[in-house]
Amino acid sequence: MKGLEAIAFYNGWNISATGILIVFTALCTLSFIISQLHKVLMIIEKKDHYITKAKKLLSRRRRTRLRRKLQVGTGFYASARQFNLLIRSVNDPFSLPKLITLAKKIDIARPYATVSELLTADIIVPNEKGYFSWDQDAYKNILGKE
Amino acid sequence: MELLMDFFANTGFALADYRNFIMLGIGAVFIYLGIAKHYEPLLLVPIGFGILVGNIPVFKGLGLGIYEENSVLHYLYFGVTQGIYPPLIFLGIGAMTDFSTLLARPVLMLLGAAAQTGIFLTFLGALALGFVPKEAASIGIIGGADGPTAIFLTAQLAKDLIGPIAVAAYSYMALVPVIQPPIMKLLTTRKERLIRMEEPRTVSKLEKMIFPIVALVLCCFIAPAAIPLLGMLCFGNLLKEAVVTERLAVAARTAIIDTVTILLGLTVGASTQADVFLTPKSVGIFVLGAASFCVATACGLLFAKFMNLFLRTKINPLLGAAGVSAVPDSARVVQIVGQQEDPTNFLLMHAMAPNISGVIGSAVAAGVLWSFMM
Repeated sequence: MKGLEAIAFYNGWNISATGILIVFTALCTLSFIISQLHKVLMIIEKKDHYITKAKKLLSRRRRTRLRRKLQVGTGFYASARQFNLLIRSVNDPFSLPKLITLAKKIDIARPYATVSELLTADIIVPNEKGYFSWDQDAYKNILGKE
Repeated sequence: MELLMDFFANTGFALADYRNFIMLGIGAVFIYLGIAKHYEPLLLVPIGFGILVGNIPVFKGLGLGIYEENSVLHYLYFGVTQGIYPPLIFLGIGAMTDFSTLLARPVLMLLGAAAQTGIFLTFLGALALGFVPKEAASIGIIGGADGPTAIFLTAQLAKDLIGPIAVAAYSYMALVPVIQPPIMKLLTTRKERLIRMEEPRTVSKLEKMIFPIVALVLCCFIAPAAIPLLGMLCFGNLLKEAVVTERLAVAARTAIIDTVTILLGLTVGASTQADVFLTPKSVGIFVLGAASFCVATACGLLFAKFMNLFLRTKINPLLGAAGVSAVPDSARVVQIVGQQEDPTNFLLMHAMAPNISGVIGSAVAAGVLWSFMM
């Protein structure tokens, strides 16, 4: 048997087309992986740099998200800053009523509302025993640059 | 007097026919081309000498011929028929190959894939000429321009054709500087041949070490039958790049590959005994082999031109001709043809990328054909 008849009889068209396809698939995939390999290796080599960058980006996003969530006026920042100073005079963890009482004594504006917003922003964090702690990092992240 | 006549009857002079002399002439030509013309001397000289050894007529039954069981040559030929030598050669090739240019410009790998199209087109041609599929696949792989791969696949699929296919594959590999330039000039314009390539980026040691592992796992997951060849190629390369295994790498790229090349060349040459070699089939194999090689070269060139339609930074289409895996001859030919147009244009380094990917591609193609024919 010869000619096109032989090719068709032995399934030659399919074998050739599939063969070419497989060789191309193998080399194209390998080519793609190689082209990305050095980028992956660069990320692994400079992982500390990228982790720091990612953290910064995340905290910036978190701050933006919280600000949007808080929807506070400029008075909040002044009150929060006063609370930040006040917190140094109380023991950590502290009781929330005691903190509000102290805030009233020194005439911090809107103490209840401010404490509520500080709780929402996770700057004042409750512990399991019914007391609260002041998260200085969260404060700096959210209010530090105001 | 009778004793003398008996002795004469057993000598080569009495046993020889014209075919033996033709083959002895071919052997002499191979040796001449290797020594005088420097065409792949490391291959052509052992093969040429093997042809001389295999075509000295001997009395059958003395255990001298390569096809006689228990003969020394038969034992040495075992490494060819069982596909042992080609993977060992790939080990050596891996240990002496630097994949930097390929890693720096992976897109050039597609040229190596394109050139393998010649293998499958020739497979169709061989089927059309009346060869059975296993023989057609063995003939098609000549287009990969990779002697060890051609021998490996033929040993698995059509042992009877090892002699002609090996001789054809190595002959065309040796004739790369003669066969490829006219096709390259025919399919490219002067303007295209003048294109300069961008400097490749620096490749890190870690990348070079990871590459053989990734290449092996990926290609062999896609075409598992390529494991014997690609496995050894990648292993040899890992030995080279790992640095700590430098001794093994040196052994692979010197003693092992040299020994195996001698054994392979000599036994393949000796397997071309006139009565099994000078047949109409062998003529068909040589014609198809040449066609396969030309088609593979053309496919690489045309695909490079096709890629240029989409690439922002154009590549020199001559690089496509290096997609056949005759390492490093076809890359050298690209350099020569490129410099004929512009002596300051250095393409050798860039041509090594498709050249090496051609080696990988032809091994994958061999694996694919083997698995289809099983």
